[in-house]
Amino acid sequence: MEQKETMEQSLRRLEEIVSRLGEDTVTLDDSLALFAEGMKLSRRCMDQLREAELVLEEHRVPEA
Amino acid sequence: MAPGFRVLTVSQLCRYVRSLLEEQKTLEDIMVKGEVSNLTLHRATGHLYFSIRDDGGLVKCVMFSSYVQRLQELPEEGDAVIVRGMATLYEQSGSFQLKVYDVQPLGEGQGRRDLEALKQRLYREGLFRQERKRPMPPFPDTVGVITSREGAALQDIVKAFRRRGYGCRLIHYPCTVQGASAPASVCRALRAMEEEGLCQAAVIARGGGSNEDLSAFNDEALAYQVCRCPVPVVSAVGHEVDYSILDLVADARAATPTAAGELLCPDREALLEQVRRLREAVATAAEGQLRRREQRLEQSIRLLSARSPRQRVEKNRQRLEYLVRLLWDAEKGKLSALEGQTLHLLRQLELLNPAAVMRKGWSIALREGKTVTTVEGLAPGQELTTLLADGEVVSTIRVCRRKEE
Repeated sequence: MEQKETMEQSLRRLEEIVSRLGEDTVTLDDSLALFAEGMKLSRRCMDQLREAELVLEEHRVPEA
Repeated sequence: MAPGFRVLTVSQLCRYVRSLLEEQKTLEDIMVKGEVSNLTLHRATGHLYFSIRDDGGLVKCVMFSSYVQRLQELPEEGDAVIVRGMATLYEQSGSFQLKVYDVQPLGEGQGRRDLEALKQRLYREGLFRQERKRPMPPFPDTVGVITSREGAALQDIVKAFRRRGYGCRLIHYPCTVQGASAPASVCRALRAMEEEGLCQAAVIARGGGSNEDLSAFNDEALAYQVCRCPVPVVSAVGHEVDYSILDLVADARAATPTAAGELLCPDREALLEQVRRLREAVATAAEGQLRRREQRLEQSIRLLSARSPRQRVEKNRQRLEYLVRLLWDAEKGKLSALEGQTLHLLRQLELLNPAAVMRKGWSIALREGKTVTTVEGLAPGQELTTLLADGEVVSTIRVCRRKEE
């Protein structure tokens, strides 16, 4: 299974995108790609937050 | 040797005395108080050997490992204790001793004093230092809950997480939180969580309403384990006047399991708001990028048009027009004084034109392409070219004569 990005990583990446987009050295292609990534990532975060359910499981002690 | 005496072996005597002692109902189950000395825990067997003494006497004691294991804490040298056991004789050394089943500290407050001493020691070792404590992960995806199956703590934590609405995974590591086995059980659960390595934070909790036995949370081994735990640990052992050792060593302390849940669980609405703000910031920043490019483009267009060839063409056209007008004016005889002056100068220049001068009879002599202005350097036999108004003559020098001064 693909390792899901943690919320913390996603938020950090979003902040990074905002700060990169604030720089003058970004190329047009890059800034468009960053914008697309930011939109996609934030949408995924919001979906994740809305849909995520609390899961409770009990740790099984492995037989010795 | 007097007749009638029966000679015993040492073994027989020892066995006889031992049976006398062990048959005494009054010595079968006795409690004796005294001070512990000569304490030795036999590593291989786990048996505990010591003596109890007072001012008037000393009794050797042996406590077999099966009983030792049930002790909440081992007695220490000099402790005032009450031991419970039976009197017997150890045949191999012929020594009178007690087989001990239980050792309890004498008098109340001993446990409290021990606890204070332990707190002091752990404090000195730096386990409670604030700098050691780690912040809680802001958005844990998986949290370990170390508590009993029975207590309300687990449900309280689950409810708190559910209320905050942040979907995450809670893994319950069941353990015993009361009784003699509790310290080891809590340690085991914490270790299981560490080994599994799934959790980003842990809560060690005890449900409200249980009795006041906090021994599991005042355990030295647990203190070290929490200290070594790779993820931050929240203590939630119920509201107490006194802090337990776990409270002091944990990275955060919550008054109740519910409070621990709230401490660890991010608020979904607040988080959604944060994501929304970031999303807007991305859009604004991207728009800014485009706007800056647009401005740069506009500026370049302005610069380019300022330097356009059309400007030069226009300028030259105006000049041309001026000159044409000038010519027209000249034609009409309306030259200004300045323009008249210019024409005069031009006429003078025309007079100085060598061609014009030559037409008047002057000529120019050249030698090897250069104008000759002096006899210096000339010699008979050299060739000279003489330029005239309508042609040239090539001649050879016969004589050179310098003009007399």
